[in-house]
Amino acid sequence: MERSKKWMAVFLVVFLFFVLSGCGGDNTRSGEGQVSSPFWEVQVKSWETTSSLKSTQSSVQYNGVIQKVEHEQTPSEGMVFLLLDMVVEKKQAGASVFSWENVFVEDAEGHRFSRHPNDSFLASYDRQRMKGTSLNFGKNEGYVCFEIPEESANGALRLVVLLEQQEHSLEIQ
Amino acid sequence: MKRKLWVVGSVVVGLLLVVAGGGLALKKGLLVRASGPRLSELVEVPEFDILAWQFSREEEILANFQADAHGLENPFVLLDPYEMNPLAALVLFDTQAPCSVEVRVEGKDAVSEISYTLPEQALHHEVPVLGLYPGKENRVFLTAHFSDGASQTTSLSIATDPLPVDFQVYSLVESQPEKMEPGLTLMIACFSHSYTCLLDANGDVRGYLSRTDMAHGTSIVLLQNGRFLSTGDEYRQIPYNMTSLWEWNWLGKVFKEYEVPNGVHHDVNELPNGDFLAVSNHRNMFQSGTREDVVVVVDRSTGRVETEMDFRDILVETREPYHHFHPDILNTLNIDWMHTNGAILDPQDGTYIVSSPTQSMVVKVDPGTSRIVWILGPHEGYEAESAKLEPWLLSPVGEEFEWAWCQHEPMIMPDADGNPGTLDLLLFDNGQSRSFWKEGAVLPEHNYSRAVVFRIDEKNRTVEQLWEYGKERGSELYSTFLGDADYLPCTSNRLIAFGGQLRSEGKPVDEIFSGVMGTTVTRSRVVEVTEKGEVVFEVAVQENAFSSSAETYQVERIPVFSAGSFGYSLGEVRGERVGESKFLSPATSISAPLLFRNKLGVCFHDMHREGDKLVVDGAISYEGKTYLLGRAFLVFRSEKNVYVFEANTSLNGRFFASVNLSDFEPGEYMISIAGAVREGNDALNGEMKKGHVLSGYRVTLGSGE
Repeated sequence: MERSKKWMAVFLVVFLFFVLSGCGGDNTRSGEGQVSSPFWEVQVKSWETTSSLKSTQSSVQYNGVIQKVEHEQTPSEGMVFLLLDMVVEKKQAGASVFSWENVFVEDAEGHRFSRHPNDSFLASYDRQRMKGTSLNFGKNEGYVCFEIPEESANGALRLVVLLEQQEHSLEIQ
Repeated sequence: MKRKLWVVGSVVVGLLLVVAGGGLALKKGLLVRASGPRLSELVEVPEFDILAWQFSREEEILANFQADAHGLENPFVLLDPYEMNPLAALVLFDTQAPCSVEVRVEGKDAVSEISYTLPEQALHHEVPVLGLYPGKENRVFLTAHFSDGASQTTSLSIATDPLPVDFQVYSLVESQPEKMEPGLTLMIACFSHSYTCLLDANGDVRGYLSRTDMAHGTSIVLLQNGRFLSTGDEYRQIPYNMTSLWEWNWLGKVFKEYEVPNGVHHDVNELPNGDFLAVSNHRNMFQSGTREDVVVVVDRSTGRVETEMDFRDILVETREPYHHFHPDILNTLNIDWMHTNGAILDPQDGTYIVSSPTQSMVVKVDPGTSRIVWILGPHEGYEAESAKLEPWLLSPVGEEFEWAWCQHEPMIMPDADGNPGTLDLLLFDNGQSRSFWKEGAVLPEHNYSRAVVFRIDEKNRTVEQLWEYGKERGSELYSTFLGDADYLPCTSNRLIAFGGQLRSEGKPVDEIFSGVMGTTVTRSRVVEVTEKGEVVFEVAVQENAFSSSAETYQVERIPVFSAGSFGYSLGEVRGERVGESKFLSPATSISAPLLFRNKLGVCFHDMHREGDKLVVDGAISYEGKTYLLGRAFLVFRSEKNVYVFEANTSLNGRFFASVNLSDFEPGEYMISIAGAVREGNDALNGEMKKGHVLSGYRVTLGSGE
């Protein structure tokens, strides 16, 4: 009995370790949060951090053989990718423009990071990319990518959005 | 003992009941029933009609514009309004007095600056801005010119996204803008994994079609009304055979869709009366046994196919001297014996000049009588029944003469000798193998491609070679397949696409099918030369890490802006759909399967509704493996009804379907795919592996009851 209790305790500790450390690897979370202004509603459907993006491109040859090409995209040294699956929707007609220059990820230390200047690679890693230019209207959906320091990824993160001169924020971790 | 008998008897009866119940359930279709819980797990097929979507988008744009006042000093700027060309923008504003608007997009240098004027004097302005650079803050100047001579200029900064990572790579080799034909170079892709784009004289991309499912593998034509004509986005057959033509502008607005039941591929041209002459197929191409051997005339106003010229009735379909476009399939069901890649009108006599690369034959035909006028091509391979064509073969004259092999895009040159009895014809000679027979074939590393001008004496049935370019470049420019050669009217230059350069470890190869499927690298080179052979523009097109395809099917030099293409106001012109859809007929070869067998797999490239038309583009596999040959059926099952259609099946499990849902009883239908793949490469023999799986989709018609 004592022995089984001991094993249960070990199991619990190991289980809790993996849960709390996110298995020590990449993180993926889903959950919805949103901020809004009279014109815009910004929603984060899910987020993930990863130290690399990988994909396998399969080309089918006519004899049924599948040729595979591996692709990998990695961030700068010491950084990780933070991928946000977002919806940006205009709620009311008008001249208001949603600019990515007004969107940041802020870490626990207050450091702010802008959207990756060219995250067009996302489309090649099975993620529909949100266009990187200004948004004027409509419902816009897709992933955006930020590069943040590894240590920032382990702490609290929030999305900061400037809408009509007003700052809004959303806890994402 | 008695008890034992009872037990045995009960077991036997029980088993019989189970078997009978199972049989009944199977027969009644209970195992594949479209039950409420099963339907609720399926996704409703999304509705998407590009014409309706574009129109509603215009209304949305107007609503946003009208919510505030926008003058020249604070215009409403919208990048890529129709999500088709990310390097174009629409700028809206009002002025107090009528004015015309001049647009100037700042270039890297003087030759790459793009400017044009919208001449109409108006108070409300919807200004297309074309020719932006990718991944850049573009400086754009708009100048309003008022009738009193005054003008006002505003500058805009328009940021664009970088090019997609799988965009083919363009490297400028030569550029002498002062000697070039004016305009941008339209680089037409052949396959849906490449991009059709516009290049300036520096080789920079200044526009592209982000929708790679449209406008590939077929000419893009500048129409007399200033709009462009290309293929639409629904497949008849891979890799380029499409069901419709779209008339559009470089903002991405689709004005008209022409549905062509025969399908369209390779080439389309506008006739003087506005109708279209297009390379096509038999209307029932999947039952006819052949493909790509019909030329059609499409009535411009109705979209209907008015004339069908079936070349099986004119040439000899059994003359199949070379199999270069066929993979190694036995008993193929859809023989591509002609692979027609060009059809043009000779306005002098109203005849058609039609190109068949597989036959290495350019044939002139009278459309009224279907009689052959002449055949331009090597004299090899006219045996058996095809010997009857020999009387029309042109005989070569002159010392410098070589036949064209597997040619592309014949084009009539201006009359240079003032002799109405001769015709000067420019075409692209791929030169594939330069023989029909293996023994005489030129190996790719020793081969070459060229643009060539032939002078044809129609009365004496002779042909003379006047001009060529490309042979001197040897295998560097050798292009096994694809290609184009255009005469440029302002400069008399020639614009040539060495369109399909198959390369393995940098060396030329002839693996066409592998190139089509994207497993062999396909590069291309576009060259503009003067009549004297001086290169004034040259661009090399190469693959990237994400795509091995960098082909250029055809090339055109086009004006940046044509006013006729933008003479409309937002929210006023809803795209029009004309012509005739070609729907699947109900299957007669199988009945609806009564069991699911999940070894079959299915995925979809497209599944959407345009009202009562369901469009499906999918692919089947078996136990995760792709097979060269197969068949797919669409099964629609509601509580009360079941319909089965055989899809138009392609290679590697790919299939296409266009289903008329208005023929269905109202109801909620689950869509499943029944299919089979065949072991080996024989279309008629070999073990069939069958299956039946849910597609994941349902479609609700009427009240859904």
